[in-house]
Amino acid sequence: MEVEQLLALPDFFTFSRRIEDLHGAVHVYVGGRAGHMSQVPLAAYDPIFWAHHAMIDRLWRMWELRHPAPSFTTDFLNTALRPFPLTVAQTLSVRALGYDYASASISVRVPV
Amino acid sequence: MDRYVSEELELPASEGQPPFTRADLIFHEVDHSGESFEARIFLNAPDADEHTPTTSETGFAGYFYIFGHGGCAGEEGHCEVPENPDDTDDLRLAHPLRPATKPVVVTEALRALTEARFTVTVVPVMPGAEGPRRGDLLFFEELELVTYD
Repeated sequence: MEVEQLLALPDFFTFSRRIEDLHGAVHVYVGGRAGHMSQVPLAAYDPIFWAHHAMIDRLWRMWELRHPAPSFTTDFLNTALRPFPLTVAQTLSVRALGYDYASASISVRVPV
Repeated sequence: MDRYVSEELELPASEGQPPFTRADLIFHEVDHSGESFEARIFLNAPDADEHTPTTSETGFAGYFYIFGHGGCAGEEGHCEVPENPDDTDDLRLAHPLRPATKPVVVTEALRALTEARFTVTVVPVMPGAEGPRRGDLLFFEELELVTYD
């Protein structure tokens, strides 16, 4: 339900703040009071961190597909993403970065 | 603080004007250098705590999350936020510990109020296997209510 509401948001910056909050919710509830996931310097040591962030990245890709012409500010597009030699504008296409997500999948059992 | 209760706020819409289409509570300069927590927001519920149900009947209006740094793990000065972070010629990302802005959409909860004056209560909660626990976790500078026609 919340994911559907998130993906329906037409404005990028509203979407950005909302997905940041949903991202934080998973860290808070998985990590709890003392787990690695609820502490920024330690979270990536928990293997679930990577699945979580892959999901966040996938949601970003799904939002892009639903809203193909979002409005960005020039300052935002030119923001440098150190330590990587990239700006925001250079990261908008996941295909240009060399990967993509399946938008849907279906499987059937093969009789033996 | 372990709970914030605002002064009484007044709905900006006056009689005869159309109702707002959206309302946001915006928390400015929220600290995220400490522990992670869920901030539960209630309207007209100054006694709300970590055990208050998050339902419309209790005045629950929404939440935001802080994914906290859990203190500084580096050497002295490692986590100091540099001054003058608003240099418009500096296109680098802001310092990771720069306080956050947390907007929360509270349209339905605000519409449900029966009085023009109301308070905002924020309860910072850490979830855990033994149930939610309230903590001295919430630090911010300003609360703003924004409504849209």
